[in-house]
Amino acid sequence: MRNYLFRRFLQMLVLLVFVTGLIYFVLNLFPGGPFDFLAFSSDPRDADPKAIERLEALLGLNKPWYERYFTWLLGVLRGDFGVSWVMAVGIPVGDLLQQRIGNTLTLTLLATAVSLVLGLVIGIWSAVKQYSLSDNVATAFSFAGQSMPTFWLGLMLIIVFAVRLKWLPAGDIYTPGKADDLGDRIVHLILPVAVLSLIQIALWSRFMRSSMLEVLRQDFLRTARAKGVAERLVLGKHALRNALIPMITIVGLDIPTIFSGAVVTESIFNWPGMGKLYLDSVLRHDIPVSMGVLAVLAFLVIVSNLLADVLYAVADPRIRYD
Amino acid sequence: MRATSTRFGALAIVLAVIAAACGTSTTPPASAAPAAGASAPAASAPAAVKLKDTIVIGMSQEPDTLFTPIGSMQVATNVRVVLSQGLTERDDQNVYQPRLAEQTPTLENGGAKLTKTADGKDQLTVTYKIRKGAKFSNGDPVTSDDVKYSWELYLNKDVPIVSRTTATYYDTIQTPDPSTVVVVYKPGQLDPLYFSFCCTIVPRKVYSAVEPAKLKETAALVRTPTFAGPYKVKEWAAGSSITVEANPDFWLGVPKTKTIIFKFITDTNTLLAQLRSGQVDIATNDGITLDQIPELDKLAAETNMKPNYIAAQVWEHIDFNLRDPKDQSKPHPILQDKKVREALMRGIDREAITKQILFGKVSPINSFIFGNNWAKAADSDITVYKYDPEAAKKLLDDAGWKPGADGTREKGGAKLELKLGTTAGNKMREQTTQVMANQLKAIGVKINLDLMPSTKWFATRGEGPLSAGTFDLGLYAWVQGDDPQTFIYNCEQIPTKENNFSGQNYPGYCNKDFDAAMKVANEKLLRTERQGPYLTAQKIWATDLPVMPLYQRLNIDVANKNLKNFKSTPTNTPAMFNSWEWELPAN
Repeated sequence: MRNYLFRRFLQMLVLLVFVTGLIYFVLNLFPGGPFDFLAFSSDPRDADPKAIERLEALLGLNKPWYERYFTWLLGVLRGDFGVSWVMAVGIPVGDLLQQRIGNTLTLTLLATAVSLVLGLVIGIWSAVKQYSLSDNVATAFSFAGQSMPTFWLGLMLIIVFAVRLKWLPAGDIYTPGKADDLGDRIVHLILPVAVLSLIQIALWSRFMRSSMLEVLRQDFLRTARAKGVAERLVLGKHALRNALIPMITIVGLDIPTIFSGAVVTESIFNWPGMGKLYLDSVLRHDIPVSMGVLAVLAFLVIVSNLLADVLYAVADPRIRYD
Repeated sequence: MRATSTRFGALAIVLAVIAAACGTSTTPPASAAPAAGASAPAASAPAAVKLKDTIVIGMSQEPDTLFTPIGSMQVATNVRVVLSQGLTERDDQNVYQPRLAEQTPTLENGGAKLTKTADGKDQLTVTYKIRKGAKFSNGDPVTSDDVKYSWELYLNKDVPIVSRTTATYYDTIQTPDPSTVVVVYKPGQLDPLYFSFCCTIVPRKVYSAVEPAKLKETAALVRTPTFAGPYKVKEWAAGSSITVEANPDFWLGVPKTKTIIFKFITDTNTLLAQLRSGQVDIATNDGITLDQIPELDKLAAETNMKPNYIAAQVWEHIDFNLRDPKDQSKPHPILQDKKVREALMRGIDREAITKQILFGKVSPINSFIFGNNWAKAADSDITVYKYDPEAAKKLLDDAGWKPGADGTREKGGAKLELKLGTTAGNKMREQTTQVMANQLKAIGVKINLDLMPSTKWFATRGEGPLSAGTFDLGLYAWVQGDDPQTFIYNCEQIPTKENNFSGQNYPGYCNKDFDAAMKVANEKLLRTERQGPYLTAQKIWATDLPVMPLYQRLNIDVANKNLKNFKSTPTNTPAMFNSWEWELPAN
């Protein structure tokens, strides 16, 4: 196992350098530059082509892309992701990421926890009581949930709960001025977490159900029942542990989305997270910010893949790496 | 059996959500009134109306910085204007009001003088007197030395100041005493906006404490700047909001509202929802789009929120590429013929478009100077091309373009087929281009729509179709400055490979008489001397038709109708320009 991990770690480093280099190259292929908006005005005071050159030179944009990439890479190794060009002029990219990651994590970790618990419970219940009324309701609900666009669901919930009933706020992370009020923050979390979870629950309960059904048909369960093991233990200890194995892979591969956030949900609920940050930075040619977000995401995707593989080996003694 | 119960279950769930959301489509005004904010005013005693402490403004983006000289966003200017008032500031009528200065200096009132130097060049000198009691947010008085320092900061090559053109016009700034500023322009440099000081004013003591190259990275200077104005920054909650509080030392009077909060709400639907629920009192014009007008009408009927529609100082138009997209040294094979351009212009029904897609809130324009600009030519003075598809067809026949078998006209084996390029993701442009393509199809012109992201469309240095000259027809907008002075149709502004594609004359229009008239109009100072030449230039331009002028853009903002002294503006001057006068009665 140790050799395996070491090899994977080396691969990870090589992959990261390759991926970030490729992304940097592609970002620089985009037409235009961060200061092209200066040519939008017919007012000679605003539209000075020499201003574009001057400002780009101050950012070092007159150097070729590979030179700038290596400067960036060396900076990252020292922990310095550079400074934002246009989105938050002069602010270190690391600061921007820190602010946004916290927001995204709160939302997505909570949504994942809620989805996991409810998804597993509903999935198991559905499998155990296959084809009963509650199973059909759960199935219908999961079809509805998977077909429902996040955008529509979010807006519907806002209309119902924030505009008509006025029970909950229509977005933001907290009411301005109440940054430290925990109750206020929790109230603001309810709707976005609901939107994210409802759709995840729909998906995961289906997976859990089918995984559970497969296990329930196995002979070793029939043996356990014949030996007189209580049904609770048959399900909870023997069936569940085996049904969870495919779920580990699925949840493990979903971990990157936990960090990239749900761009759509963040947009509707005005949640300042990583997804929105990335979208804005690409549209506005803020390469340091784009690279910062992408580098963090690339790292997380690679690490979470590794984690999922390791957990799989832990959960299933039949799997061994060397 | 089981499948149907599943389907029924799914249908039931979806219907339940829809039913809850739709409910009754009109709610009685009382129950829909915003939670915090004035509801229908009861009979209140005229004296001592209690005012709300806090006004919340919803903007579409987070500012890139509050030290606006190094930034570029409209939303940053929205906030800057409540933090910093300069020597003079533009109001909603496009008049420059004296703020830090006691009086707006003009040639007429003697505040500005025009003299001749020894070698016969004109030289402008402008004198400002700073008001007594004008203070920065840290309590220090505003002195002429601070004004001079601010100008020097703009010219410092290590500070990434975005627009410093006006600062380069000045030769020196003299400070004979702490409250008098004398700006001396370079000889021969005339500036029609001489009464608008180049630079945002900052205190020397605070800003010279760091070296210029490090200025943009010093949070205390750019995120919570020290300015002289009605409010000062209390807190910038990154990603969420900026809170500003009233400056009790504001020299024009203590602001009537204690706190203003600027919230960043990127999704327009969310912005509307927050307006409805009363979480936001004002929505600025950067956040509201045209396609929401029906929603806004409902909003006005059901709540206290009132939408304001103002024709902006931004004009939509279609450029004709007068040069061959494949070889810019040659004229365009189809569009170089004025008859064809006139036919295209007459084939488009601008009136109908403004009525249907723009809800009748703007009218077509006929010149590159428009709206309530003092230099605008009257329609009776220039050639106006009205919608006339029959005349358009005749013009095309005369030009040799005969209808082909499939309806598209042909001449010498070539089809009358043109690419209409514009930016993607803009609802209004998507709709108007469809309509125009249909209208032109009716006169035998085939239009191929070419929508692309704005970063590609506007890319400079030949990287985009406009600057490279590879388009046929281009639909986009120009922002017009305060003053009609512009060089975008001058011969030397045509972007070519030789000049590294710099220049904004994308149609490739060159008319020496036009250039001559514009030179006089752009370089004189008195309106009486400029109006005639601008009229001549507009006559020539309208006759040559290098560009199809369409209509002004619509600025829409929404504000609580009980908010007193709120004025929407057609320019880049935000509606926050007189923030200290706002009064919003509390319930």
